[in-house]
Amino acid sequence: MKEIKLPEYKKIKLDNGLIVFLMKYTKLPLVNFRFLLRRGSVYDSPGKEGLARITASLLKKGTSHLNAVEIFNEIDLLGGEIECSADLDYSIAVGEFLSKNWDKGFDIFTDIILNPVFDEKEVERKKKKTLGEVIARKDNPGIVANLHFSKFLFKEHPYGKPISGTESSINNITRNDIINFYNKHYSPENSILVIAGDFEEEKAMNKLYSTLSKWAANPDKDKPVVKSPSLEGINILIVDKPDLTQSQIRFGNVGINKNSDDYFAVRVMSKILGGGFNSRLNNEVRVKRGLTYGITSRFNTPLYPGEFVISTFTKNKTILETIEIILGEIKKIRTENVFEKELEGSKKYITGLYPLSIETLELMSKQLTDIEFYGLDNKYIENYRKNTLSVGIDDVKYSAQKYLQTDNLAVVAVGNMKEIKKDLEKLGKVVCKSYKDEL
Amino acid sequence: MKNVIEFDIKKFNLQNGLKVLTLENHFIPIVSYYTFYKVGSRNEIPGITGISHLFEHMMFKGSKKFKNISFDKILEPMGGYSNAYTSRDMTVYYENFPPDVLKLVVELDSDRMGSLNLVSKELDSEREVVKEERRYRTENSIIGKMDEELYLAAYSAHPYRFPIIGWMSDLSNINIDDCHGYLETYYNPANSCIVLVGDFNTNTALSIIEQNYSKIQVNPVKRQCITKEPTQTGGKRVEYRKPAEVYSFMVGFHAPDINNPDILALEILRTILTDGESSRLQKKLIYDKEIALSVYSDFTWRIDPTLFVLYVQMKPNYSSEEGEKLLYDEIEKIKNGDILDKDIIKAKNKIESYFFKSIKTTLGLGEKIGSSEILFGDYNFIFKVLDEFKKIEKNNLIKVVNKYFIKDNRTVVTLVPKSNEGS
Repeated sequence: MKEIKLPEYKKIKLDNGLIVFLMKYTKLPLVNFRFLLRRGSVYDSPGKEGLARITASLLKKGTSHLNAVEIFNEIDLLGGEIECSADLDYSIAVGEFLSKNWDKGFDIFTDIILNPVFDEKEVERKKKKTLGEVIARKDNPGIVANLHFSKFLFKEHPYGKPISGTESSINNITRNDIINFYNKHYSPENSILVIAGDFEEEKAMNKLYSTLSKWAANPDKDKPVVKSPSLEGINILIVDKPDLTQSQIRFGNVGINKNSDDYFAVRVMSKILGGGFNSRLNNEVRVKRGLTYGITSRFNTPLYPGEFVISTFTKNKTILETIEIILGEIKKIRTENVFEKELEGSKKYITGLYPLSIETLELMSKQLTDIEFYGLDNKYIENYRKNTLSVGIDDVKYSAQKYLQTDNLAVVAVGNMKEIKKDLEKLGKVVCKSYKDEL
Repeated sequence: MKNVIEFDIKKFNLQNGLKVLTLENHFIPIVSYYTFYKVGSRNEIPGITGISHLFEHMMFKGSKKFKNISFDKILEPMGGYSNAYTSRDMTVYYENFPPDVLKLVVELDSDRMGSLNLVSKELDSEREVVKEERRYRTENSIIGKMDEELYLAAYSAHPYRFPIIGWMSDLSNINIDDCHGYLETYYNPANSCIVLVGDFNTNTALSIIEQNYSKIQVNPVKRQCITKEPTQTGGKRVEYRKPAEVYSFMVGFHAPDINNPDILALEILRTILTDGESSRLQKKLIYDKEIALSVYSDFTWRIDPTLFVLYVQMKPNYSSEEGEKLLYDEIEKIKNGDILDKDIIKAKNKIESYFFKSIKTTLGLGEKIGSSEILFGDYNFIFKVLDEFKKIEKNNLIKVVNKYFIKDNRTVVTLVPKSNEGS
């Protein structure tokens, strides 16, 4: 096997604690910036869900040097992009510019991180837009299903909170909340920065020392309270949307985190169960029976154990048949050994395509921030395929028994309640909501 | 710094008319392998709409040498990934895989080109899959349904009016003979093009390809798309009533085919109108007036005259009427010459960025090369066109906006939310 590794890079820790990676890669005339703050929506205070994301998205809406219009005019004029957002565990800003403009792009990028002003008008504008988006997402059954599933599964655990907030939580957020969130959490010790691509290193170093190195250290030892929820029995939530002719289904339980010792066994097991086109679930539900266009299983692996979820959709009248097949496949992989050939094929699939995970600049930048953020081994990429290949039949069975549930799990169906409720009651306890209800 | 990267693409023509395009790129041990067919829903007729796409699904169901076993059952355990898509003009198959799998992929792909094994039972289960796909992408997707309504209303004669996925009744109707007929009419080496990008040796790859594909017979396309869309003679409007939280609308203007140089100015115009927060429509509707949530445009270059599409999703409690008015006002301003040089520079920079972004992956690069060859008969067009964009000036933009963005040439679909009755 040809070795898979990132192009050479430098890692620097500035005096104020900021970790910086510089990686030269000149295949295309582009430069990618990635800024990661180790604080995400799990730090949203109760009733203020959406705060981390709104704070991040307001970074580029005005600094002490440029107002919002000047910033987006300049970014667009340079043919660049800057996107700021927040996920469960972190907030993030990503920028990409043509090499010929990278330095101007980087000046804006550092300015928005260091000097946002959270102008009152911009805060109101962003709140109103976010509120509109929160309402409009009810028109998308797949998104409704995802949001309800996280909430239904995690309950009061921070991973159950909607990252983009709810109607009432967005209304509750004030400009002061945003400023406080920024002042408390945005600090160099909490942050990682990557500059990758076709740029001049000396210029980059000069820029770092003239701006980001002067960012004042600001200790923030805040830790979220994380208590894993307990589920008893098969809990079913129907989110009623009477006009739907097809139900969106989400099915699963709490799984693993990125640092889990079982990560690679789970990765292989999940591929056999519901990854790729050749998985057991796709074979049984789509290929053999034509019940869906798509079915996948996935372990989301954040800092704390995240969700294991099977996602699919089927016409209302085949919802029970589909879920029963899923349950059957989970029982099977928990109790019976997988076939040697199936195991080898799945490992080959994962390792064969692994090089794609470092194919582009933003993927390379993401790998660097991931390694640092999750505290992964610095040979993580080099060893990924070896670790995958070491998974055996017993590991697959062990991880299926440990991380897949058949008796205690959460099922969410977004569809026409009248058409699906009776069927779902045959599986377990059903609660119903309207898609119009808040999460 | 050079403006456009030079790629060492090589083109080979096999005797049976198959074109092969190769580009070596050894950064990661992955090969992207494409098969383009110049056939899509453009080539369909009523009663069997959706056959191009349903047929695309059937291409994964086994062939003579690989009978009763699906494509992915063979490829995935070797470390490869495959997929396909169907558009109005093309059907495109692709795989990503480690270099040592190349020979197998060539065998698989050439076998399904030359001797596909079509089985009724497989068709019956696959049509159910496609019906679920239609429920997912169209019937239960507001934007999907609006798009379907838009093309249906904008085109009165040309097959671009048909939904690519087909009508539900036609999906039930298509039979195995239709599939055989379709295969014989359109699937042959002379109507196809293969593209390889990535970690391989050109000479070795070519010899494997020649060995496997040369025996496939030439079989010229027997049926062409003839119908020409007549000139639209008045604005059209369609109301789509559906339970929804927000209003939205789509506006389509008939626009020229790929041989008309106006497509360049129209693409710049598209960028000026909708791309980036400072674009004319985002700035006006989302930022200044705060009445819309999102603005989006589509201007797909096509073999026959295409549609220039603008889409606006309104904020809750704002009607489409308010959005439409502001949108037309912006277009009128441009008609009257209100474009700054800065707007044009911005658009050209964006187009340059898009280009580089689209070729970051071997899969992206292969897609560009192949679609350029199929649509323009020149794989290099997509690279050369970057220089052509640079020549576009303000007067070109004003000319095209006045030519195409007129009421008589316009079709509008509005989503009118109705309450969700029932439980």
